[in-house]
Amino acid sequence: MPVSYAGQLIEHQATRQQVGIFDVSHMGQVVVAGNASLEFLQNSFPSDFSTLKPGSSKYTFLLNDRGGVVDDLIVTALPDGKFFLVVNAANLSRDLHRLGELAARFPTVSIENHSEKWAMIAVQGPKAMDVLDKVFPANQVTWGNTPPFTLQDMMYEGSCCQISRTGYTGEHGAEVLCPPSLAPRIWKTLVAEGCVPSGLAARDSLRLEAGYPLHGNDLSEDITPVEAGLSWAISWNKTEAYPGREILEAQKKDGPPRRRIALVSQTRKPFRKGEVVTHQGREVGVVTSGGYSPGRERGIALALVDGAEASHDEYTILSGSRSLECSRSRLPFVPTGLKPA
Amino acid sequence: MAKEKLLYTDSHEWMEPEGDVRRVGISEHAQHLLGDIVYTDLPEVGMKVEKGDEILVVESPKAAADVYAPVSGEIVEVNTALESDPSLVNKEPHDGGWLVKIRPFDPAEQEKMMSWNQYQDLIGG
Repeated sequence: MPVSYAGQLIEHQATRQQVGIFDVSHMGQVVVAGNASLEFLQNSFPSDFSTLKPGSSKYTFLLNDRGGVVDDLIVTALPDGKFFLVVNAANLSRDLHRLGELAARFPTVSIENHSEKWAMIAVQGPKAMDVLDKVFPANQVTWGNTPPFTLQDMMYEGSCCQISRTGYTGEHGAEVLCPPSLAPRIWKTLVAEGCVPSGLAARDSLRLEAGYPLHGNDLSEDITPVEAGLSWAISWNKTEAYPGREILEAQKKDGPPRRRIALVSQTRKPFRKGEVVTHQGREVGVVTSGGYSPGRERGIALALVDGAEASHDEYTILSGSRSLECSRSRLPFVPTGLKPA
Repeated sequence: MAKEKLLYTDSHEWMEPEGDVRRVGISEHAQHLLGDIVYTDLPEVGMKVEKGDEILVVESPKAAADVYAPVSGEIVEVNTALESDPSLVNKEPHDGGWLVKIRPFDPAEQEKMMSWNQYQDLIGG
């Protein structure tokens, strides 16, 4: 995946206003199989999968024993009782190792790395579903009518593909999973339908505007989902004792040691990961993701600040040689297709 | 002014070759490497700089690049149009996307700058 094709801003706006495509074939795919798959997931992840219908997906976290995030991922229940995991490429080997550790007490469960089997093209933007209906006509399915966080098989030129109603931009769309040999042809077809090839830089500014975390920045083995403002993805009422559960529950009850806040600048200067956040001269935290918001024409940041310093309205970010005033923002930073104003 | 007539530095600034006051910017090549420029941290008018001093920063979402004074002199004007449209640096790097105007202390100092042809050799153009 290149940093950009025609230019980051053009690509960013294409996804917000029309439709962009992203080659995310680097993402990892893992299949959990075996009779005890559900029991394994229930005892390994903080989300409740017991009510997840076949073909439906959930965003969740693979945790270490301290409640830190080894990876954030999407788990889909497949019709045959297996589960399909889409994970971050950079974390694939750590994920496989951690899943293997957790599966040790479930001898019938197998963890299979399917990452080489799938290429993945994200089609994102207000016109994404129209394009998908045109390029992937399917019996009795109008892709635009399928709900977000569902996954369905489809045939394309005789090969089995999958359409996952997920993405990382805040816009409507899908991620098309196909055999790698088919990916160049699908990509060209999508381009011919007006989709704008978009790179890593636009992917990052789109996800940041949408308020989505990036593992390695806003999530890590030293940051819990509660600290990262992602408690909504935790099923607090489930009964199983997954790793890190006690720590997450204590953080929910007493307040986490640090909290994620969203900040918007008064200038265009892009904030950068690692810049120090202060309040009234006190160092209170650090920028975990920074950038420039094309939608707001301002520098924006996600930051992790001391729990006791997380309720102020104004902060200062030490950015290069400057001290820049910023104020709290709601998330997403801009209205998006999935969360309009 | 045509880019072929401008003077260049090895850190990719350009400067007009004549006049009491010279426009300074970054080259076509430099703006291309940086990508979409979204912010320029323009200096104060009246600032006196030595050749090689950092005079401002141009930033794209992925990178921040220091711009250095091509000669010693006084900053006498900054391009305020960039405050509302920093993309001028991408669109017209040698014209509407100029950054500052500098009044050189010593006109002879520019003799060490590169011609267009020398600069093309540097960037492999």
